[in-house]
Amino acid sequence: MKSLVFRIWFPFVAFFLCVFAVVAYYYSIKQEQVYIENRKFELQELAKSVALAVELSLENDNLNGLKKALDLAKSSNDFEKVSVVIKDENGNKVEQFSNPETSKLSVLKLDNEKYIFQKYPFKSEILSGEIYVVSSKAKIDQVIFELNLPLYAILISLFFISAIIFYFFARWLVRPIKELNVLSIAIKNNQESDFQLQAGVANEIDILGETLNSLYKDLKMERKRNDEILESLELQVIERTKENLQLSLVAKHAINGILIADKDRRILWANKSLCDITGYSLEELIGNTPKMFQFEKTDPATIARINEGLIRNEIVKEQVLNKGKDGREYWLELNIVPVVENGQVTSYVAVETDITDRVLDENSLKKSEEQNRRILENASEMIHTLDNNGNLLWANKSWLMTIGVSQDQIKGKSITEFLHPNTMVEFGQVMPKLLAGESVDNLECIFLTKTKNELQLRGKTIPLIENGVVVGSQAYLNNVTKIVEAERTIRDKSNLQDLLMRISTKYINLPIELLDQTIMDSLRDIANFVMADRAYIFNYHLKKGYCEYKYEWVTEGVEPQIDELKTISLDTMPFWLEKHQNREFVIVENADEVVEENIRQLLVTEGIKSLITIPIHDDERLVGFVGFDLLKTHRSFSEDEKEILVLFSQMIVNVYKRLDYIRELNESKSKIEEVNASLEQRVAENTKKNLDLSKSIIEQEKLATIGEISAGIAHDLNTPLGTIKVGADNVRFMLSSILKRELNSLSKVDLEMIHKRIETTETEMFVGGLQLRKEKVELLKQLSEDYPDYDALFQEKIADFLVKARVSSNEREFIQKVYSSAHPLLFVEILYQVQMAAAQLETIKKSSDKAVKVVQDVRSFIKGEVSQNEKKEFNIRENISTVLGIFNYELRQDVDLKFEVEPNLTMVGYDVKLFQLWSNLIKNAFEAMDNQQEKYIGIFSKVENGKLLLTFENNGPKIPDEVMENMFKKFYTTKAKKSGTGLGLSIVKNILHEHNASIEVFSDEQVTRFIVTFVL
Amino acid sequence: MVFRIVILVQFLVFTSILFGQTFSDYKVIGNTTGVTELTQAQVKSYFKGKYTLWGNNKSVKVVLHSSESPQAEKVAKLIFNTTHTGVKKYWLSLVFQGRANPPVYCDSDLEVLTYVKKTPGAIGIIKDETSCPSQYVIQIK
Repeated sequence: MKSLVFRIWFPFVAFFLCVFAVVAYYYSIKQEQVYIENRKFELQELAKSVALAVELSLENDNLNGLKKALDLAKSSNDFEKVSVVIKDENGNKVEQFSNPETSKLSVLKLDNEKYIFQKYPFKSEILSGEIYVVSSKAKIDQVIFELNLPLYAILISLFFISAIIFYFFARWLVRPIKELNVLSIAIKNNQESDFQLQAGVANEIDILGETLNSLYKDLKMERKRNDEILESLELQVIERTKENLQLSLVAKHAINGILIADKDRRILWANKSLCDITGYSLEELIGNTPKMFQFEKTDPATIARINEGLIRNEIVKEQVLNKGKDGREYWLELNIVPVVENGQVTSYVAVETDITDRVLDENSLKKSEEQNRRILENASEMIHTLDNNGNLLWANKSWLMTIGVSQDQIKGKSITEFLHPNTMVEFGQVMPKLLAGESVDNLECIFLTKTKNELQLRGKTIPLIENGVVVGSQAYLNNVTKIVEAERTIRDKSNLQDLLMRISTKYINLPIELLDQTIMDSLRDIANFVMADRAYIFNYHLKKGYCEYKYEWVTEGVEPQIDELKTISLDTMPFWLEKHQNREFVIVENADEVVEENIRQLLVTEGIKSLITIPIHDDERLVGFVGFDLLKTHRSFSEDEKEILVLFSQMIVNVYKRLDYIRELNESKSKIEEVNASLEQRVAENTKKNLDLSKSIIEQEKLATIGEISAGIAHDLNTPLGTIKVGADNVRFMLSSILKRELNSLSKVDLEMIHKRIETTETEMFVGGLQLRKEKVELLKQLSEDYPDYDALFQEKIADFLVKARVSSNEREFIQKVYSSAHPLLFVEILYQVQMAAAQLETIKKSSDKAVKVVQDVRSFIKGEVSQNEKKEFNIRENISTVLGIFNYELRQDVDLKFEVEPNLTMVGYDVKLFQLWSNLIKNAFEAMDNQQEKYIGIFSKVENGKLLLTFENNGPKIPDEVMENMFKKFYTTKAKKSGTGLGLSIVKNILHEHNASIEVFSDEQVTRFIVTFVL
Repeated sequence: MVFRIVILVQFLVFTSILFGQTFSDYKVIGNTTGVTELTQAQVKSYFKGKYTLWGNNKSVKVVLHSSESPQAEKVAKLIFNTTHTGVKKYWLSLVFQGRANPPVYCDSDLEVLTYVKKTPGAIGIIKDETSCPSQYVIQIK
C-alpha cells in the first residue's frame, strides 16, 4: 500500500472504475426509460387490437377474431394480464373478465412501481367498456440487463486492461525514483551501488542520480581513508593497552616472583609469588633490600657477581641460595634487569624463580647417574654406547674383557671393526631403527675378539634420547656362543631325525612303481643334509664278483657316473669290501691326507674331497653300501650323522626286502587269479545248467497245464471242425440241386440280380418256422393285391420262397423285378438255394476262424520265454481273454464267469509270461471248485493311485492256513496225487517279480481272492 | 279479483305457452358425438361450453343462432335463460378468458343443420319441425 507504484496506479484505476460504473449505471437507467416507453406503446397497441376484436365479435356474432387476436397477443407479447372491463353509461364498472383468468392482479389498482399498463376503450351496441393490458416491470429489468450484458463485459474488460496498462505506466514512472532510492539507501548503508547513467538519456533524475553517485564515491573514499587511520590508531592503542594489561597480569599472577626495586635496591613492589616464595608479606618487603634473604650458606661469590653486574648496569642471571621468613632454604634463579631512562638506572626489575626442587632433583640425578654408572660398569652383560655414527663412546668392563681391548683402544672406533662380516647386514638394519628412536629387542649378532674368535651375542639395544633427539645408542649383550653351538647341534640332530622319519614314512605303502624315484629322493635329501655333492647306492653281488651301481644322485654341476660305472669288479675295491664286510664305515675326511696311494689317487682323480660310505647288511649278508661324496669341501662326520646314516642303510635293506615280498606277492596273485578264473568258469557253467533246468521245469509245468486242459482244447476244436464238415456237405448238396435246374431259363439279368443280392444283402438264414409262417401270410396277402393276375398256388409258392430267401414285404421293387422275370418261380427258387449255400459257407468260415483261434491261443501259451526278451505294451483284457479261451470248455460247464476288465487297459510287460500267470490262477480255481455244483470265477480290474489291481476270485473252499503260508514255495503242492509239480504259484511269484508286481491272497468260506497289483 | 287472477294466470300460461319454449319444441342435433340422448341439463352444459370434449374425444363445437336467426332469442332463453345479447356476452367472456373455443353462429335452422352435418363434434339446436335425418338427432330425456 505504501509503494509509490501503487500510489500512482491506484487513483487512475479508481478513477476509471468510477467512470465505468457511472457510465454503466446511467446507460442502464436511460435504457430502462426508453424500454418502458416502447413497452407502453406496445401495450397500447395490444389493447387497441383487443378492443377492436371485441367490438367486431360483438357486432358480427363471431368470436373467432377475438380468439385469434388474443392468441396473437399472447404469442408476440409478454404481458401479465389482459382484461375486459365492462362499464355502464356512467363509466362504472359492471363486469370484468380477464385472461389469464387466474391472475390475481387488479388492473384498476396496480402498483405502478412494479407494473405498467395501457387501456383502450371499446364500444358496441351491446357492451362498452375498456380493455386493460398489464405488463411487469421486473421482466423489463431483466431484459435490459440481458441487453446490457455485452456492454458490461466490454466495460469490465476495458477496466482491467487499463488497470494493467496503468500499472506498467506507473512502474515506468517510478523506476528512476526507485533507482535514486536504491542509490540513497546504498549511500546510507555505505554500500556499493550499481547505479549508472543511462547512455543517451540525460534527464533531471539521471543527472541527480549520477551526481549523488559520484558524491557517494568520493565520500566513501574519504571515509575509507579515515577509517584506516582510525583503525591503525586504535590498534596501537589496543596493543599498548593489551601489553600493559598483560604485563600487569603477568607481573601479578606469574608463577615466578617479581620484584621491583629502586636504584638503591630498596624493594618498591613484589608480586604474590615472591611473597609466597620468601614467606614475607608485601608490607614487610617494601623498603628492605634483597640482603634480607641471604644467610650463611649463601655463596658470597655469587653475591659479588650480582653486585658487579648491577654496577655495570647489565642484566644479571645467577642462582643463589636464600632463606625465607620461616627459615626454609630455597634456591632462586635470578634474572635482574636494570631499568634505564636517559642513561640512568631508575629501578631494577628482578624475576626470581624458585628452583629449589630442580636443584635438589639435579643433585639426586647426579647421584643416580653415578650409581648407574657403577652398575653398568660392573654388569656381567656386555654393554657399549655408540654415537649416531656407530662409533664407540664407552664400553663396560665385561665388554672390554670379552673382546680383549681397553677403554682407550675403543674410543672413537667404529663398532663395525668388531663385527663379524656375517652380522654387518643386521647392523645395517638395526642402526636406522635406533636413529628413529626405536629399541631393538632380540638382537643377535656375531662379534670378533681381538684374537678373531667369533662370539655369538644376543641382547637388546636402545636409543639414547636427550631433549627429544637421538644422540646415540646403548647395547646390552650376552655371550651365547656356547648356547648357540648346542642349539645348532640339537637342531641338526632333530632335522636329521625328521628327515629320516619323513623318508621312512614315504616307504610305507609306497607303490612299487614309485620305489626307485623315492630312493633317489631320499638320497638327495640326505645328501643335502650332509652337504654332499653325490649320493649313491651300490648293490654287492658277491657270488658273481661285482658291485652294481644301482642308484645315484648328484647335485647341480656334478657329472653323474652311473652310466659309466654300471658295475665294478670287486677285485678293484678290496679296501671297501673288507671294511663293509666288517660292518665298518669308510670315512675320508680329507682325500689329500689318505695314506694309501692308490686310494688317494682315485679320490683326487674323481675330485672327491671327503666321503663316507655305509655298508648295507640284511642280517648277516652284505647287500651293498650307501655313499656320500663331497667334492667342494672337506668335512668330518659326527657320530650322530653316522648313526643316522646307518639307520638309512637299514631302511634301504627293508626296502629291498619289501621289493622281494611284493614280487612274491605278485606271483601268488597271478596264480590265484588263474584259479579264480577257472572257478568262475565252472560256476558259470553250473549256473547255466541250473537255469536250463529251471526253464525245463517251468516248461514242464506249462505242459502239465496243457495236459490238464487238453480235453477242453480238444472239445473246442471238435465243435468248429464238425460244423465245417456238415456245412461242406450241405453246400455240396445245394450246389448239386441248383445245377440240376434249368438255369438257362434264367436270363443274364436274373442271374446278375441273384448275384447282387447275395453280395449285398447279409441275411439271417436260420429263422424259426413260426416266424416264417407269419411272414408268409403277410407277404401272400400283399402279393395277391399287387399281382392279382396270378393264381393262388403260384402266389403261395412265390411267397414261400421269398420268405425263405428273407425277402421282406417292404422290398416291393425287388418283388416287382421277380415278377418281371420270365420265370419268377424258378428265379425265387434259385435265389433261395444260392442264399442257403452262401450262408453255409459263412458258417464254415466262422467255424474255421474259431478253430484257428483255439490253436493260436494254445501256441501263444506254449510259446514261452524262449522268444520273449523284451517287455512290450499290450491290452490286458485281450491277454486274459486268450487264457480264458484255452479254458473255454471248462468255463461252459456251468461256471458263472464275471469278466469285468476294462477293455482299454494296457500295460508294459512280458505278455506271454503273463499267460502262465493267469493260467495258473484260473487252473487252481477250477481245481478248488472241482467238487462244487455252483462254480463262480470273477476277474476284475481296478486302477487307483497309479496302480493296476487285478482280482481273480472264486467260490471254492477256504484255503487252509498251512497252505496259505507255503503256497508260493517251490515244489509245494496239494495235488501230489494229481501230478501237481508244486511250481505253479512259485512261477507266478517269479513272473510277478519280473514285473515288479505283488500278490495278495484272501480266503474265507465264501470266496478266495488273489489280488495282483502292478505299478503302471 | 278472481277475474284478474284468472286473467293473469291465463296471460302467464299464454305467455309461457307463447314464450315458454321447451325442449319439446326443439330438437338438439349433433354429429359424431357418441351420444344418442342427453338430459336437458347436459344439453345446456354443452351449449354453455362446460364440456369441451365428447365421450369419444371429439371436440365439442357449439353452434348457436345469430342475431339474424329467428330462433336466436328463443334458443337463448331456452338454453341460457337470457337474451341473445346475454348469450353473446357470456360467450365473449368465455372466449376472452380462454375457457372455451368460440361458438359458431348460424343464421337459420337450415344453416345450423348444414353446419352440424358437416362438422363432427358439432352440437346445435333447431326447431322440431325442421326436418333432420334421425342420425343427427339427440334425444332429450
